[in-house]
Amino acid sequence: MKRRSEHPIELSLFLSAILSLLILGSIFIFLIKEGAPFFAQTPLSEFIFGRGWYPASFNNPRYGALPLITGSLIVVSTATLIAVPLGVACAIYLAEVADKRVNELLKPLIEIIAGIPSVVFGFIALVLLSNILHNIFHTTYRLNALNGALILSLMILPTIISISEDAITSVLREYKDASLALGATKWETIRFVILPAAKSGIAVAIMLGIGRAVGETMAVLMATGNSAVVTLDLLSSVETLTAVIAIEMGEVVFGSQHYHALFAVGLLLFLITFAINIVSDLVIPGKKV
Amino acid sequence: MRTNSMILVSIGILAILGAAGYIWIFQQPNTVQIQQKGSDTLLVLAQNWAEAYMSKNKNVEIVVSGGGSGTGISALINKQIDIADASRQMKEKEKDAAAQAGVNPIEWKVALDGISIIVNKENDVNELSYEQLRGIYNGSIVNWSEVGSPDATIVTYGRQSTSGTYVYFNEEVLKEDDYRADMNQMAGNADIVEAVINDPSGIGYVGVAYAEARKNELKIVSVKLKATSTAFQPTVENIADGKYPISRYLYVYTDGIPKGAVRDYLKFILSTEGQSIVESVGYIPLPSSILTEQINKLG
Repeated sequence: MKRRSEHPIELSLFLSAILSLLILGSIFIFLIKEGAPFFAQTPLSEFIFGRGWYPASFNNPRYGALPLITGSLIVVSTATLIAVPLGVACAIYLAEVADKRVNELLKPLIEIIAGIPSVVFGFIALVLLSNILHNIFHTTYRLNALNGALILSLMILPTIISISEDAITSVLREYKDASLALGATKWETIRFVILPAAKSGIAVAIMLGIGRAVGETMAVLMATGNSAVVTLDLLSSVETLTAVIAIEMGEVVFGSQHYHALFAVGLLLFLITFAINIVSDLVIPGKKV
Repeated sequence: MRTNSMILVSIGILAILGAAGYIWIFQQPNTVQIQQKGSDTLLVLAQNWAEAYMSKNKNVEIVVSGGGSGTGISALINKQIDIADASRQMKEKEKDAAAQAGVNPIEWKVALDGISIIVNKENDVNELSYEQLRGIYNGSIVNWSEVGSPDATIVTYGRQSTSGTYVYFNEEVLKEDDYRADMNQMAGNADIVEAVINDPSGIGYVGVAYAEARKNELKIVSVKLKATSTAFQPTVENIADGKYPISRYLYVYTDGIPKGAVRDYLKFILSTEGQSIVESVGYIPLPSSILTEQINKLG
């Protein structure tokens, strides 16, 4: 039996849930409304496969998003490849190996990394990291995809570490005790008992990390040099989908084809993050955080 | 219970302070507010104008914000502001939108902005011709040895495609050629300066004020129109009398010929004092013929 006084509470909770859905829906509709006029003048195939992003060309304005797609792809995938092993290893250390005092010191520090504004990371990449990379690889382009990927991997580490650590810590103590009681070493227990039990949680951590990486704007635009070239070379300057919107939206002629093109890029970005979320829901069995 | 009432009292005090602050900030009696918004190139200049003007006219409050030329112009079209700052002229598309909204945008030249060509301190190059700059930025010149410096791949830095500087440089120096695809597009002048200081093979174009501020850490290249002509440094005198070729006007737009406070403020911008602020911020005051033209237009 419900008490009468619970109804308003229930209703307000329901409204909050609906509100987020409404906001998401409105954003999507807004993107479509502003992005759709673009496709009246530029065919979708030219947008997706066009190799030149020249919105302000005097002779022939071109709106090919392929360089932006490949730019985002190499930066995000490299950042993920760096951050996932590091992050998961760090989470295992914190949850299973480190003693309590070390854990109490390290965890807040890692969470502070998450709170540093991305423009600060961007500045570090612009003035410090780019020089270090230049001295190691003798890069022609100081601001390049690798520079962006490294700074981005640092930024997504806290997400991956803290969610993976929660997943590992929440593995039932009985599993661990049973494994150790059977004579397994600590490493064998981690490798064959704890990690498999925590794998869905770790997968969620990775997906959230990728989601953050795809959407990150400021640090990446300061680090990667923003040259819209189609390349998979990590030492070349690249421009990402997020960066192009951020640096061009402020000055663009409102209502122009270029303006609509930026919304088309936004729509593409929205669909990509949406797809990542759908995939993480489908692929990960029994997803729970 | 005591802590609870303490909390209540402090909330009460905060609320009263907040309300008082709100009234103090937003309800000043007898003030006229002027909203000015637009180009980030003009932002610092506009803030200085506003500050100087307000210190003499206590009854006028000028709110200055940036966001970009496009943002400012569209706000003027939507009648949200009184003055739009722009580092480029209005485009046809924007004029059409203004006409549709019943807004009659009037263009005012308010300052000159020179563009400096900067390279790393270690670079040997001292002067470049228009033809060489065009080649460097359209991609037909790729190595410093082609312009008389030691062998090194040229790395070009420029602005993003919506920047007034990007479009101006595209027109004036590149003669409407497309920029090379691998030019690093930076979000601001300061970013270009920072990048060139750190890159021995880099070259960039930035507003004179930005190059001047860090001139000990980089090299400002002299520019000549033709290979055979004399090259000039972007000094205030050289830009004002047109010897240094890469310069452009900065604009503000109003809806119709302004009246009242906005007119008075614009008059101040075009006055000797307003133009001396232009110079103190690092831009170049309007030549007197252009200045007279603007003042006559204002009537």
